[in-house]
Amino acid sequence: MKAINWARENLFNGVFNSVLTLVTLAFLYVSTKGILHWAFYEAKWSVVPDNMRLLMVGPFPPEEVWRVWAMLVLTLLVAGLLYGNSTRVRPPLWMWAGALVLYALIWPAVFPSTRFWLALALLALPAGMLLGPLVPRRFLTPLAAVALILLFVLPSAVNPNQWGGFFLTVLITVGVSLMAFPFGLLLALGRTGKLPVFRTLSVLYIELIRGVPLVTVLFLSWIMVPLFVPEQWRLPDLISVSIGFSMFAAAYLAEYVRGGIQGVPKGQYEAAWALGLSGSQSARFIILPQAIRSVIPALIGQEIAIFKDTSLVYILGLFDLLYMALTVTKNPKYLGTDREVLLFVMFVYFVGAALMSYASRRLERAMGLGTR
Amino acid sequence: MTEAGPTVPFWKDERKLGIIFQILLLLAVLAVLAFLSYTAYRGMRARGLEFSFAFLFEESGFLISEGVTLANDGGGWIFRAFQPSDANWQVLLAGLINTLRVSLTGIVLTTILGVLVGVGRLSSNWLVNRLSFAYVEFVRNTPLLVQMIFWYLAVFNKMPPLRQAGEWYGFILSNKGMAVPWVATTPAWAQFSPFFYWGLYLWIGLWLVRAVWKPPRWLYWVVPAAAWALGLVVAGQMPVSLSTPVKQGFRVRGGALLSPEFSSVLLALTIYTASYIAEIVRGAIQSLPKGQWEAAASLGLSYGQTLRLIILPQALRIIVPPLGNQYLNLTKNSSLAIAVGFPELFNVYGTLANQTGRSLEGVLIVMAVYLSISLSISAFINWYNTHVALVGAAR
Repeated sequence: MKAINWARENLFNGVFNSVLTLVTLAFLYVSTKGILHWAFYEAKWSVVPDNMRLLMVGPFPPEEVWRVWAMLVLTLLVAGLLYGNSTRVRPPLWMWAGALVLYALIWPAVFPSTRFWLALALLALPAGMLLGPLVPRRFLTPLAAVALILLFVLPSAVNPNQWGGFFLTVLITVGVSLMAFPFGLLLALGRTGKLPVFRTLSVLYIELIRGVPLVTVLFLSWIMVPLFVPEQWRLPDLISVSIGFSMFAAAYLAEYVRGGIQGVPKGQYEAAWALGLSGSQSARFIILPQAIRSVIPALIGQEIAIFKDTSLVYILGLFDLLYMALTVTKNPKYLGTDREVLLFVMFVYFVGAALMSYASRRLERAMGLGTR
Repeated sequence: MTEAGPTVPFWKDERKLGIIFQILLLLAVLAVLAFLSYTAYRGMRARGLEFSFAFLFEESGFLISEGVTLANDGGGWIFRAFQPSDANWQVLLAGLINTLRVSLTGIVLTTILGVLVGVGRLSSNWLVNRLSFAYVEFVRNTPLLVQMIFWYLAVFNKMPPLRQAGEWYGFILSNKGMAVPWVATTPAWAQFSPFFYWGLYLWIGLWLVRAVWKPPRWLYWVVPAAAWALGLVVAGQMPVSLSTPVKQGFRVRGGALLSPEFSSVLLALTIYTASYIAEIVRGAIQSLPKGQWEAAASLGLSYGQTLRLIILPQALRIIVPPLGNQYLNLTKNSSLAIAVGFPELFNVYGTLANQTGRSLEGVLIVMAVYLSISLSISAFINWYNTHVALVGAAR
């Protein structure tokens, strides 16, 4: 009875809506019938677990894959520690249960040698949260610094030309964001500042970069950057492409930060002025903290855009997730599995992007954005 | 005028510091630019390359799968299919025309789809509402490049051959691409075409003389209509007809056949951009005061009438600037077509760079072209924006 009432209110209220519902249902039926049949009866989904290592780390030497696992465990552990320490939140039950369920689900798909690492990775986040409150606050910064150094040291034993798969995708996302952020900040300050030369140069740079497609910038830096280093250096493509990518991302970041800076009330500038703060002091202590706080959702949106745009490095022949996926479909054993593999790639990107936007919403709420 | 009071040392005087910093920055930027161009020059020399645009006028010698270019046909400059004997600038032009072709079609289609989905997001119909939401969330959270490759490899490449292809209301989907109904000219076009063009010229002329003499509004449509009506009378029958594609052996007759590459690029761009446009439309509609809906309801307007007559015209003003941005993004994103082999500007550049080794010169040309497209689109949007803006509104 309840269901019928609900349907009457939400699907069949009025002639127009009833027709709309029926048309939509017919459209859904026609379009998904074939797809569902394919997904459940024809698709060879085994191609994905069979090639999971290739998709995740690409040509990374199999005996060195533990390095990637260690990086993952380390990141999750430190993230858990920091989060647990700052909020004193005990890991909720669903986290443990989720880890258990995920382990059971993924267990058959991984090699016996990696099951140990899988267990560690799944437990790292809740364990970190549990241990977090026990660590004295003054140890946190050195701890994070050591972890950061380890994160750099761990993969460096392997030639960057052998980094690949989803690992490379994540690496490029993080690296590009880290390089683009300070540069974007400077551009935003230059564009909003009073000094005409800074302003003109920033505007020129931002508008020039925003007027051309990312792939042309990547190509340009792929061609140009190696020209600037001695020929015997053999710079990995990863570096030269990442430089162009960061320069591109910085122009977009700058525009978001500018929006935040312009949203800071004029009284804040005047108050800083009245306190006798210099230009750089007021930017550092008064304006930027408020500006960045107000544009955090936009910045995470930009982060998601960078994450999605990493797929473009495939065009330049870097072994990212998309490249590895298309390599798998060229294997004679898995010929004709383009749909399965590409859907998996979409799924991975979707989960990553959805997680980021979920984090963004949580952060917005925690910071009380829009409520004060 | 003499300065009174204690003198401020220059490193504490913000005004002087500003000037010094600016001069330093300018010098630094110039130095970096000079250094970069010098090292680039030296690096290219060391690798046996030189910087020159002379290659543009050499014969290209390669074929692209589809594309129209400007060529001198002995008598004069005409548009015709690109041939390998044409020069390199002609192949770049063919690429540019392909870029514009796919972008303009995409812009029209994505606007329609985006507005539909955006309105669907606000629908009181639960099914439509959820479906639009799922569409937006899924499409926005996956990379365009992966979607484009999916359309190409997983959809169009898996289509049945033409013989077994399904026909669907005049559309034929096969591994040869998408055949769609299209306008075709009939023999009567020869007599009609002068009237058609003159009607068009007169209409443009009316717009041009507006600065000197403002013609009455009815003239704008009466003049071309009269010219075309006269043309119809002279021609005696319809000069154009709708041609639907028909399967004939291994070929499609009639209609227009869009290649699998073009179709996948077009579909991917349309569907991806529409998800962003939908969010813009939804945001604009939601930002209108609730009173507008209530006032329309109290006037007895239906939901559709309210949307068409009250809400959308007002939302349009908010929509235009971000919408223009999306058009720009769509045009720039068409460069991803290199991954599926549609010969648009960037893809053609890739082939050209392979053939001639002119990667640097080529990418600079391509960037300059994209930049001018971007600037023209944003100039157009600004012009349009001033037209739809409220008269006297502060903006």
